[in-house]
Amino acid sequence: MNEERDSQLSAMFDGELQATECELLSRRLGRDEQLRARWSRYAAIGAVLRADPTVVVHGNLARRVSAAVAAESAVAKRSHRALWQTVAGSGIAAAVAGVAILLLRTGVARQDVILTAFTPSVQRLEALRLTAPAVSPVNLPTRTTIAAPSYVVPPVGPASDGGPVPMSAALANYVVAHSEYSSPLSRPHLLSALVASDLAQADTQVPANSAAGPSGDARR
Amino acid sequence: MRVASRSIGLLLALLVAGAAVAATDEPKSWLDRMNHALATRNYQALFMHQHGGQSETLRITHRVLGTDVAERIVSLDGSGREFIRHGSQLYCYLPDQHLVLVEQSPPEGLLLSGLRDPDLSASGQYTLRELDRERISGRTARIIALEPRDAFRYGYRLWIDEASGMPLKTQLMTADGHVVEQIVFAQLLLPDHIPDAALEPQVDVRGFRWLRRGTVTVSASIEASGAAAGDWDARSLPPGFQLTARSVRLLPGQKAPVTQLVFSDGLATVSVFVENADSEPAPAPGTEAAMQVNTVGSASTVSTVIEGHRVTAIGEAPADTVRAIAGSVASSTAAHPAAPAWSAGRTP
Repeated sequence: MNEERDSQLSAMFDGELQATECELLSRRLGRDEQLRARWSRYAAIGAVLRADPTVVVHGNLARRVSAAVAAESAVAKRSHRALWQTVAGSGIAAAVAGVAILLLRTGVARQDVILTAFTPSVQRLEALRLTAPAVSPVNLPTRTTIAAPSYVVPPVGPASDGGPVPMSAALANYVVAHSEYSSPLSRPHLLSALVASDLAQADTQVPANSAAGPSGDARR
Repeated sequence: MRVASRSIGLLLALLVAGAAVAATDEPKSWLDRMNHALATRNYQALFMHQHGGQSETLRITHRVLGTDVAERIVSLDGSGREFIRHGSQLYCYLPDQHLVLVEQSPPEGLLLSGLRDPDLSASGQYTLRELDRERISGRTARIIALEPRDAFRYGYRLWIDEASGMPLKTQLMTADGHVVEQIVFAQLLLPDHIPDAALEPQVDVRGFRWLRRGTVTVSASIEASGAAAGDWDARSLPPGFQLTARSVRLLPGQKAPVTQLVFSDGLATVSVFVENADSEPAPAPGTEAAMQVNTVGSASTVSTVIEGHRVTAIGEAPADTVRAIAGSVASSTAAHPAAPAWSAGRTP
């Protein structure tokens, strides 16, 4: 299965994956942490393989990726998959590769474009993600067609329809309330973390002050 | 004589010009430039948020249209969460929870906004200085560092684009230089026009619960809110921290108001939320309630029970700092043992 996924990832980065498959893969990326890690590594490898002179390479991982690629090239021509398997062994901080090595400057096509990154196929992937944000295979949200500015107001419904408030929502409440006072330097980190983090673990705990009322020592 | 006067005049002009150049090269002037860029520009950016070996891709859209400021942040990697701010309204779409939280929030709560007081070194807890320049994706960036004086707080490094003043990368760091968290802009556009559609959520909210803030009593000033906030305060704080705000508020979906105490050293901020927890079992006599410590990115969260109240602290500071502040709060009506004394030499 991994080989198949790697093949799909490779095709996607080469711009050869069919649109329908690309969408399926993007959905899977949304819910498969391991696959996202592989995607990050693949992006890193792709950047090094292209030997783009404008690639900004940071950290030990980048050097290890470069060294691994160089070693591979010296031995023999290999397929992407073989190369992938070799470099995957350096799998520390795949995210670092995703963050640092993906800083590519692909050219300034418009005056207002001051920094660009990702290959076109990754941009395509991202566009697909916008139309199909994966949250659950059972209840996949679809693009809403609410006319502006109705996105800020639900059509009907009370302020709160009662029932228990998940701890993750209570935690989000606290973080948002706190962010009003946090410094502008730290706020991007705070809110980005809230948007990106996995709050599900908090739902094993129940807030004392939820609409459902307190519930013992679940949080202790 | 006339020649001499002219020469002196020219020399003075050169000195003034030189001083102006020196001023623009000061690290504070780069923070000012960044503030101006963030306050006045439209931008759309794709950025990576990295923490603890995990990396998430997010997109931000920020539009300034006269006095109207709107912003949208979207997670592209998994949760599908979106935060949309339009004026003072903040909408948190949590598809993984089938929830939408609706908050009233001041415009300063934007994800990227200028520093209210860029002269942070005045607090005495940080040193502001410029490091070497660095090329990022073909752009020249000035690296501005805010270095903490001790381990009670984090420091920051900012890579500010020399041409546009926009931040290209930010790092949150420990006092000994370890990177805790970083944000790297992978794509940054500065369009003249951003359509309304770019600020609409992409989440189908059918079937979602909407939790709105109910009737709110918020007192921003410490003096005005003392009684309403139940006179909660901290008995002892880590060096440099002081109480900067106190309020009583009703958060979305909650049935009772919560007291929020805000402590800050000028840059790091820790909020402590105090709420009734009458039915929670009190700790055994002579013992203290356990503290539960978690993280949201680089922010530390601590939850415990004090005097029959649930106390939850959140702050972009080391966990021990947040824990110390959370454990220090108390109501003025209770009898307390001697508070611990903090000093600059004592680190968390």
